[in-house]
Amino acid sequence: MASINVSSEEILKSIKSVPALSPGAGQLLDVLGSGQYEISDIVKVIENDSALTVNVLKVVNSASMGMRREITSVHQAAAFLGDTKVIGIALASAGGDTFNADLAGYHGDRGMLGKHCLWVALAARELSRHTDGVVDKGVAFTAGLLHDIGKAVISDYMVELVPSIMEQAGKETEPDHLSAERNIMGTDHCEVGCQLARHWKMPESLITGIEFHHNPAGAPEEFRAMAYVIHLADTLAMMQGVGTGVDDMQYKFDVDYEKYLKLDANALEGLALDVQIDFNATAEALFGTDQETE
Amino acid sequence: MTVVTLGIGEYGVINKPGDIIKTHALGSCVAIVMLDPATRTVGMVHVALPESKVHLDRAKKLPGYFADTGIPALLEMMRGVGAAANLRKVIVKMTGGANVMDKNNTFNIGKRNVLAIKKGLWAERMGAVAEDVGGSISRTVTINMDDGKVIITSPGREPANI
Repeated sequence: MASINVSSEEILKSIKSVPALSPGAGQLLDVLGSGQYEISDIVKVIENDSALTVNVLKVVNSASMGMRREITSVHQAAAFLGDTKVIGIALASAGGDTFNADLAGYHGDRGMLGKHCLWVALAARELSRHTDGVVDKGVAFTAGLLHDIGKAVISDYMVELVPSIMEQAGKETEPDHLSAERNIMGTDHCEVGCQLARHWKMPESLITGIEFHHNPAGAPEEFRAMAYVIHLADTLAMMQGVGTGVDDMQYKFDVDYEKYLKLDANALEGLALDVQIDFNATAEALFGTDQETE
Repeated sequence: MTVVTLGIGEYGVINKPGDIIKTHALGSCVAIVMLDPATRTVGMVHVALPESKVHLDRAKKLPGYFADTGIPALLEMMRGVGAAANLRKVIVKMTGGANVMDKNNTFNIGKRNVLAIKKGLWAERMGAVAEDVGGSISRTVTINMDDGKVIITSPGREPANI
């Protein structure tokens, strides 16, 4: 049990050694985070990065996307699939190792983080439509996709500490899983994610979505509506069973989202179902079909 | 041997030796399990929402998604394989229905699911003999045809059965 005394400094220091994003991926996040872009801007950035282009075309042409003919350009892919799907494919490939982390500290399986982030991204995009235009759908989608990247880093340090964290959290009373992470480890997946986002030089809108997705009321006013969008999308994902492991359902929920999002309970339920259907199709293309291992 | 894995809103039946039926990470959803000892048949439905009435189009495509349409859909499927002829002899169990930590209890789909299922079972003059519901734990359910045990697992926790 030599590594049980993890210091938060050690975790935050380790972020510095995470490889930088490719210039294309960095540029893509800048454009998306601005909320001011045309689909042609996205296409141009992806086309200028050969690795991103190859990955987008590979996924678009996979059998589960059901294309009748081969898609040979990013431009065509965007026309067939819509911009957010293409963004999702590009970002999932840019942060490949991150989204594919095994999440041992959360007792999650490989692939769970990517699926959870995709569900949250699709839900955030739909929820943004109910903010009177305050939250841009591309920013919401992108922030949703990135909100839990901190877990990919913190998970490895949590493996031996997770029993203590679980003992504190999960009683339907304080502390929740986030506070328990902080109590035991001196930091939490939101802070670590925020530091990683700064290391990757992400725009402030996306950093806010990562840092405040469990505490949207604390977000700077400019991005608070967006933080609530991610908070609600994340909660819906966990309720639908698309979470990341031991922490599923173990977070505080802030109902003040109602100040920023105009949709009633029925509309929210319908939205969750529509997102689930969209998710099933998209996840299969991005991550392949679930294989039974027994 | 078949392994039937149910996604959200799906329902299915097993009735051959060695068959397994399971559903992953219920969250606020509820799994209703129906065991018919007379025909050695196990059915399960993964319900996500209490009522179909404001989502009628969606309920047509995915009846298992809602408590009020999911129970009749599962019973129909069980009757289709010759089971559930006598509902008095069908054993019902349920699990799931977790909630996030919400002081005001305004977002309690888990609890509402459980209540709607009880109502739906009542309408068929049925009732659950065992349940493991609520709390803030996302549960996975597995039933093996050979012993009929309803095994509940969650990441990082000891398995339980009801």
